[in-house]
Amino acid sequence: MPSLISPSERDYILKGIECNIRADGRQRPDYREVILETGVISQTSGSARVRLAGGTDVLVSVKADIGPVLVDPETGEGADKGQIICNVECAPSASQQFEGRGADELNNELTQMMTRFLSHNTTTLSTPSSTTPSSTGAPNNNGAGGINLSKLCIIPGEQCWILYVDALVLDYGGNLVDAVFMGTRAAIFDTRIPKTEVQDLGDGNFDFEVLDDAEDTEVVEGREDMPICITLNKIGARHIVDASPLEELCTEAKLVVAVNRSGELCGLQKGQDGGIEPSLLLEMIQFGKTLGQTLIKQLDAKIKAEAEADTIKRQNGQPVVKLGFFAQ
Amino acid sequence: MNVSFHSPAPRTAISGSKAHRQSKQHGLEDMELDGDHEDGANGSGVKASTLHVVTPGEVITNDTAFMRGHGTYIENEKVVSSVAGVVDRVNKLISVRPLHTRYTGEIGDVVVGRITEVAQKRWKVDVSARQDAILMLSSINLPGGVQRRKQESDELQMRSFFMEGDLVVAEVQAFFGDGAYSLHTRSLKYGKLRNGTFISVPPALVQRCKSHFHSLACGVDVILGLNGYIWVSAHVPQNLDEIDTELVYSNKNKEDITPRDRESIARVGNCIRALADEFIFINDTIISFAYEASLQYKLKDMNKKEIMHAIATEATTAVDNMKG
Amino acid sequence: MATDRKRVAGPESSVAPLVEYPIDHQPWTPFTEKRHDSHRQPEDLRPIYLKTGLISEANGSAYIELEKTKLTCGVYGPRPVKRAGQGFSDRGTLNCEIKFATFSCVKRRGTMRDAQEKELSQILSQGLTPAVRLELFPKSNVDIYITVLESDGWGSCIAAAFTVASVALAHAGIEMLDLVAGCSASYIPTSIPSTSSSTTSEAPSEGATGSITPQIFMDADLEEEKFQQGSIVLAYMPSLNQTTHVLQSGKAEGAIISQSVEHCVEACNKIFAVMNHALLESIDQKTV
Repeated sequence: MPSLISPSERDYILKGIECNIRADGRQRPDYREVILETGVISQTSGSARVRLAGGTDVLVSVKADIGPVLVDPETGEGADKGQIICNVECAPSASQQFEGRGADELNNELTQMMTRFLSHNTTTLSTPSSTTPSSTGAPNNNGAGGINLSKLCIIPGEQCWILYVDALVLDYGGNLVDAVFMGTRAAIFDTRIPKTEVQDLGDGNFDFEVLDDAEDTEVVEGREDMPICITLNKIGARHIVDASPLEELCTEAKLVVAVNRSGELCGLQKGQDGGIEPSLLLEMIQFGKTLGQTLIKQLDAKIKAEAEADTIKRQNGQPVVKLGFFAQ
Repeated sequence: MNVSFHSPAPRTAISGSKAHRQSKQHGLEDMELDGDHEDGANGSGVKASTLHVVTPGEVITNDTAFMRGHGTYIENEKVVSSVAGVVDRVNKLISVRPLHTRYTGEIGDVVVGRITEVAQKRWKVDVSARQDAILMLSSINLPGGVQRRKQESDELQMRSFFMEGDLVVAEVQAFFGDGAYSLHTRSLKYGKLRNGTFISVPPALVQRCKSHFHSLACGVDVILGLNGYIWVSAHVPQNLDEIDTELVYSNKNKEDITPRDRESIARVGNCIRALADEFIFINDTIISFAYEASLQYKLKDMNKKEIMHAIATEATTAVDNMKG
Repeated sequence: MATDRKRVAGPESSVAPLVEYPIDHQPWTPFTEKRHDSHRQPEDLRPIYLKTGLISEANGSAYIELEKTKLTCGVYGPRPVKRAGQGFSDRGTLNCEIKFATFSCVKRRGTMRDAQEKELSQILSQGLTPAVRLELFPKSNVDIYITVLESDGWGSCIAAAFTVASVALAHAGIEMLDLVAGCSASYIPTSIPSTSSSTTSEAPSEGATGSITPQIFMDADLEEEKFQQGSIVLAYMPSLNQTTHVLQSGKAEGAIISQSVEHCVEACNKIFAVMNHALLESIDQKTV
């Protein structure tokens, strides 16, 4: 992760973007090749590794755990809901700048962003979602995060599934946010939660049992409606996607647009120390929205193809071999 | 827009390209020619015909006739490797060159570096070596005159010459006691870099050549720093007599970089990345061949793994054919 | 979270006090009344009270009050960077810290900065940096400390933080390109949607949530935020016509977003007038 750039490099990148030829030959709206594999870590409920050709390497794991539900003492909300707890961490091996406390700010920024965009809660802006659940009195069905949290509840008011979504950044090559969200979507699609059986013991007491049948598991409901993020980097008067580290150093302002598959905006956040004119802002939002929908379509096709290939192999009794870290 | 998703694939080596792989070029030919120690070499397990890769702690030879070089140590009168790399033998000297390593320089090397710090009368330069190299204020050509003495005013405006982040091409002038290099830019071909883009490859892939400044036929200038830092830029006609010394430290790119130039630069840059990805030696010949090979692909497709692989393969075959 | 062992720890968990309402008390909902504060229209902001020069020790300071949202801000600097070994920088840096007073929210906040406050601090400095001429202060640092005394609505709280900080910056005589005004808006559905079709999340959501178009409530307070589907906070430089920050959460159609951005820009222009007035007043007091 470079931190220095010379004025002439900056100028070269800026003018290149102006005439739509980026330093590595891409055009403004071009992504790098994305290399994706799901089910790479056996200890998780679901996992995925996403790499952008040229560096960025993100490993996302989802672990389903059982824990007590969080109830808002004031409104009694949250008794029938599971939770999603997000965490992003940049490994110090990815860059010297992540060493020690160096990654703290970035980790926190990404974690908060992920929590805000993925959490079911519509008032995440107003309450730290992991500690206080939504206090909405209004009937909002599927929140911005898409995932149906009610389905994660086992015994209302007592026990629920908690999905721990942990993203680990192994290598830095620009455009972290998009890669993290692509990986998260793939990992959630890969996630299987064991079924549970609830027994009524009478007197309002319940007990439950986790069925350890590996074949009979549930997918995360609402996973199709999860948003994905598109980061638009404003350089000069133009904006580009999937910036390389040097391009990120030239970025005046970046805009993260979270979109779901039906084109609804699930979040927006500006980053970096520059301004954007309102008209350009709206144009960028629109652009991110269209691009995001295409991206989701292609990503889903890829995830589906891989899942199907695995199923066929399993049916034929062949071992499902993941290349994992032996791959190029 | 352009986005594609792929599954990871196992790495495939380029067939028939061994001659250009970094492991074989140095030394091994010498070994074959060197008749004196034929027996010793065979007896000690240093095989001349195949490349010899060793890992730390591996015994290279137990013949006491050999001397230990870099990357080896002696234990119980045996020469043992201390790095993972390829065995080199020059006469009786055995050394092991590690495959991936920081840059180890020699005096006279041309390097590309990035200024990281401005200090008292000197700049610190990142050259991918174990220490930041030092560029002394007295080792640069000061603007406004041939070989003028440095003055106090120069010390106060060092940032007007080189600032943090600036890229320079320089020559290794000397070593300091702590292993840091002292650089100089006292020639008009050295100095600040403009009009292009920066690429970093493993230092082992750039060999020492007669020249490290190349103007390719496609109108692109390439500076191959021996430290693995490469500068690819638009061609600037070099007229060493008439260079305005004031412009040496300018940060301004030239105005007339055409989109065509940019495409060529991006293409060359991608070729270098493709070659580095396959761990192939990088020199002007192979870059030219790779450039030729890349012309059949669209520029924006060149980031794809299989196309990068195809370009590297084609370029190595072309070099093979040229050599016969 | 790290705990501060020097302080006397309060109880591990706290419960909001029970407030006894009259028997006929009905909590506010957007379906019955227009707004929580019945005097307001959806596009109206709360009245703003803005005053500079509150903290004697600071180089510049300001206080803002939007009814029950109250923030103070102190600006120190430009002053030399304290942390050594950061390397040379030809631009100054803007360091922003926001802290919610422990008593400022419904739930008691911790005494130490939590993850959310850290992120908000980052957001604020990202939104204020474009306005400040940092290139004039090499090797220096400008510190902005914001304390939230009372928070009534989160979006409005962040928006007010932008406003108060930029007034405090101006009060400190720091060279700026423009003032940054902050404004928030919430998307609140004003009719009860049919819940039957919405439980199936597998189906594309056209039939589910897309059918109700929420109303945009400017500068929503806490009661109103409870009903929001999403919200947006916009920081804007009125004279330069530049958005310096945008933070949106929750689900919304593109049309709603563009509409609320326009509304916020408009509101920011109004807030700008208040900011101007407050600054001019502070100068008047000095010259008299």
